[in-house]
Amino acid sequence: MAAPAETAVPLSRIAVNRKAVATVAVVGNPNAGKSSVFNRLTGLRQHVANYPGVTVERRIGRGIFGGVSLDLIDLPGTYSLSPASTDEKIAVDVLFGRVAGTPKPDAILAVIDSTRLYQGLYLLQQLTELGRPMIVALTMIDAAERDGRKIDFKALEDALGGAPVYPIVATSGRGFPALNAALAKILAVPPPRATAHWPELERAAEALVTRWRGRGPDLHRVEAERLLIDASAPALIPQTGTDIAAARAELFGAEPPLAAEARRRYAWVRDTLARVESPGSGVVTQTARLIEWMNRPWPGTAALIVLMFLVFQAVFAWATPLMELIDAGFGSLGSLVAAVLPDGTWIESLIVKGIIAGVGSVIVFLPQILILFLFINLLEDTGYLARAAFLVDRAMRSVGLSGQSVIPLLSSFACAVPSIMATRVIPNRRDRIATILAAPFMTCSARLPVYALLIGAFVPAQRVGIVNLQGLVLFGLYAIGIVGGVATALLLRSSVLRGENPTFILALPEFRLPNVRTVAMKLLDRVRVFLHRAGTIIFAVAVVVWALTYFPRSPEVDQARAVAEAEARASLAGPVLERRLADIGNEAAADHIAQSWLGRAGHWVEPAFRPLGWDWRVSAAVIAGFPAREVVVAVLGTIYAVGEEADEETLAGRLTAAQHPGGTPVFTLPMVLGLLLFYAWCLQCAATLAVIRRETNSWRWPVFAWSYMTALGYGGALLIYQLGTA
Amino acid sequence: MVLGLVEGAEIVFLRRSLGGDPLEIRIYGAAISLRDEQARRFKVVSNGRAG
Repeated sequence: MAAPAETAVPLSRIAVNRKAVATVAVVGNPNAGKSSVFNRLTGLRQHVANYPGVTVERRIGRGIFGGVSLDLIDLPGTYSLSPASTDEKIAVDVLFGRVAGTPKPDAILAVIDSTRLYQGLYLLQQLTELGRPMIVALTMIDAAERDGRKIDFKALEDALGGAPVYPIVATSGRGFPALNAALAKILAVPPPRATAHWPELERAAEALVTRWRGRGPDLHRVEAERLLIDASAPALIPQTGTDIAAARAELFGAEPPLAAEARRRYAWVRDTLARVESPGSGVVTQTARLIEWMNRPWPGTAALIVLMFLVFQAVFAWATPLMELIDAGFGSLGSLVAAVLPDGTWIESLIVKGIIAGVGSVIVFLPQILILFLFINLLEDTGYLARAAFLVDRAMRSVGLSGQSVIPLLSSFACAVPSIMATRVIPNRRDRIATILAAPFMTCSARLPVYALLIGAFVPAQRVGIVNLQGLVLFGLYAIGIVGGVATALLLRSSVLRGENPTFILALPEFRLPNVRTVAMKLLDRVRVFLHRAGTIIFAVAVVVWALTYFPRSPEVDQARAVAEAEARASLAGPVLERRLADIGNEAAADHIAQSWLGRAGHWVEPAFRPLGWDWRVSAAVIAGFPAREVVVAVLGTIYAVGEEADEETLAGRLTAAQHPGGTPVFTLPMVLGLLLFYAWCLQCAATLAVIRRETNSWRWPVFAWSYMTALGYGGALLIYQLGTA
Repeated sequence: MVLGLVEGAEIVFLRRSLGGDPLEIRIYGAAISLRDEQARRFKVVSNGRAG
């Protein structure tokens, strides 16, 4: 059993040192703008943890309304109190106070999408029966107005037993002053008036509550009702199975309880909707017309393609200068520190080449990741990505994925780690695993330095017609990644993960303006995950690789260096001397690494990689890259005696000149293409493996993914080299 | 069911996606996406009104 989550928001985390007066559950349909509302009400005073035993995040924030402090719990979105997924189950469990370490909410803030009142009313009716003070926030009221809908708020309040209703727009803040004022007095709001919606069920539930009194925790009538309806409800009280079965048989007969409930409640919903909502004048605004047009399949797909193209352009155009800046910055820092520390000691080497270079190699990816996730979050928040999922669903299903795989797979182009976590939205386990295994194939930011180096050095910078060769190869690598991912999903779904496609009924949200605050917070979240999960591992790996290249120390290399330097000083002077000394240093470093642990490993595995055209240096660099691709370019630089900070041209030059012992060049075109393919298809990221393990809850999948992708990469590189050199 | 596809509900068929699947319907103003194989399980009676 996992340890319980923290009971209260730690004082260090909140701005006000006052205990909250009450706990309010923020509950509502998915995609209703709940998080936007939550963020606006709590700002940065949020605390994120995990519910015990599940991978669902718990978000609690402190809101201060007219001096009154309230703890708000942002519950996962749900459509009813009968949960359909782990997320929804947590929401229901928290509402009933059944989660260890999370306080039972004293009051409810229901956040409902005003453009989807039909579904919202279902949950609202269930919530009114809980007997707790409740306030309703109707979001996206501007979208409803845009569609020409008019809602009678008084009639709605009446239908909900008196629960006050507040129309708001989470993006602009419209309606929030009234909502804040209401929240300040929420405990004084009387619980909604009870109306007997389903007398037979209520009577049966009451009977059970009375019968079981004293045998376990006291149940609320609604909890007993849920037990009667949900086939999978846990037996909260021992030995109640027969009671429940008997009551169900009497109440429902042969009809599934959920269907019976849906039938009855939705009859009320239709009735209420007719009283509360009027379709309006029927005048459709220009915006609405444009949006309808965009929703059509062909315009929609065209828009999607254009959008994707623009996003990727932006990512590369904007991120590259920033990345160079960061790289230069860390380089300078390294030189600065090197100047301060005693030369040639392991401390200096560890700090400059291990730690600073290691941290730098993580931070340098931040611009790309930030920009790509910014765009994805923006699109997600406008509701566009749900539409995109709708468009591509059929195509995705033909390759064994689901429409909802689109967001995680897109995010993988920045970094697979947070995107594999994002696969939680995919309800079907088989679809989800297929997506998780396809994700590492998408060309992530870390592959780009290697691509850039190899393409820049070995693919001629020419144009063939209107197409730039180097750009073509880069695009080809992206394509090959996608092909690999898709083929993997297909393979899995037709063999190991074979199974039925489950019910896929998605509520499609209306288009709305993105909420800057929500987008920013989600961005911070994803970046936090990258820095914390990926970053710590990458950093650790960089240090380990440093150690492997540093030890063991070789006195012979040092002696040879000293001799060479003495010679140089004797015969040269000025800038020529400086250059010669630098060269000696680089050569010494290369000799050193040749006899280091990493170098020896490279020699040791060389036979296995010779059919791919690799020599021990390339093998050593690739081995170093296995836990984290990022270190490869630096290691290559050292091995080829240009030092890690040499510019690409120098390194490229060295690579081109590299030779096998017999005199043949190492980096031939087939070998380079094979190497590129190896990088495209090989899984070289310990952070990704760790997160796959976490999300699939077993070692089987990460081991499979690693073995499968390495074999694929090896096979592909082998094929290309052998075919090309035949 | 929980989304309101119950007996007697009025739906408006909006469109099919690429390849004919999934389809989008509007039910009392709320848009829902439904895969073809599930849609087939529902019996729909036309009431002749458009929109």
